Amino acid sequence: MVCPMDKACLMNQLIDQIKNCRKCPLWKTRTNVVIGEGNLDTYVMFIGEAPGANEDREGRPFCGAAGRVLDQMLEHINLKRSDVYITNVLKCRPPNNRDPLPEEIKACTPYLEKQLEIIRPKIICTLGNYATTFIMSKFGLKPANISRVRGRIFRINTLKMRFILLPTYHPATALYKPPLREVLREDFELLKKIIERFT
Amino acid sequence: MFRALFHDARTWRYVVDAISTLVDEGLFKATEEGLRLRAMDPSHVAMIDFEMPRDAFDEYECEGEAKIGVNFDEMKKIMRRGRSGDSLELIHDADKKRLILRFRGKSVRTFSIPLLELEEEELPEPTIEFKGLAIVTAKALNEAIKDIAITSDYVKIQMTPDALILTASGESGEVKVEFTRESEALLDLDASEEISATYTLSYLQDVLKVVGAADTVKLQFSTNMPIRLDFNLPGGGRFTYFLAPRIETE
Repeated sequence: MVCPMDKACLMNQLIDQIKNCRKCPLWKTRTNVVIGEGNLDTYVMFIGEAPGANEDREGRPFCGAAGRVLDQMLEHINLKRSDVYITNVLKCRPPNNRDPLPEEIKACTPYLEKQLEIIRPKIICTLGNYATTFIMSKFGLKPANISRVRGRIFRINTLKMRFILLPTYHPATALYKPPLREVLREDFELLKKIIERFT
Repeated sequence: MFRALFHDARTWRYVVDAISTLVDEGLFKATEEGLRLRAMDPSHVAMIDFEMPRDAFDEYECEGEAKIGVNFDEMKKIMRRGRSGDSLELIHDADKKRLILRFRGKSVRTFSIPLLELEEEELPEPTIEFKGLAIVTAKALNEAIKDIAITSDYVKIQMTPDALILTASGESGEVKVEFTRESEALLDLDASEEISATYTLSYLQDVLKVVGAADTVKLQFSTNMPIRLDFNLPGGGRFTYFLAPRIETE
């Protein structure tokens, strides 16, 4: 187990590395790297796809309209951002919000792996198709469309940690497909039940 | 300074093939005791612990400790050029920052690859209490995994006091491979209770690339816990593989 002081120290080292990262061309177009924020001792880690324009400007994950939906969902289950950790698969914004390229993913995902190793969450909630596909493939599950796997619980075992994967829609989905807000709310209620098992 | 000569280049071909399925890059550590590599895949689902003691080599020279970081894709391409009857000479050229790989057989063929500056990762061996052990011929396990692959992406491994059983089921049907105490391929079995766990087949298929270099494999596991596979290599070498159990869905 990594002690809280060590976690902060390890995360600070990682932040320095990411801020200076030039492993793919995205450093040329970014304004800020968006590493992640929240509680390093949390049970729950949220993983989205990549920073958007607001996030790139602010250097914080989920700080635009989608972020407000995420905040509402957290509030719905009596959580605050400071109770969880929020990050993305990519730490830099792909220009015009295009899909990440394979070389960008290859360069960036060791940072996410390190974040997982430091935080060691008991529950990972992937937000949207992209993050869900990435995490499912990474841990040997056959990826499927988010509409088929959302709200399902996957238990993942590695040699270093065990955790529950709960995929759900990206909060932005609720903005352009309002009926999905209710589905998102259901998934967060399920998340609450899973958290209660651990506490 | 490190230099070693191994009598059978093909052993290294199989070892490097198996390692390359798990990691792109890795660090061999040469000491006076022998050559060692420990590597874990980025998902932390599997880990390799490879050791070739100095006595396994025909010639072995190592002063102090040499850290040899390599790209396994590059090394694999070269190792595949090893022919039957070739021996393999490994030389760590620290000055030129290269690893020299020399096949000695009907001709002498010398390759070199750049050394990578890799950070040494601390990878402690997983501590697991195993409730069952079986030793089978490596070829028989390989065949069993090939049988399982016909129907599924996962394999359930069971051990009872009397048998080692591999099963799988999929849309196309079911398959069951049994090694009982009467089976020629089962060399040892020790399980006081029934245990079982399920593993992702692709990881096992990958590691079984080392089968060409190994006669037997020792399997150890407990219910829903990681499995440990020990492949014995010529000259007292050891290729150990840890694999986490598969994911379950609620």
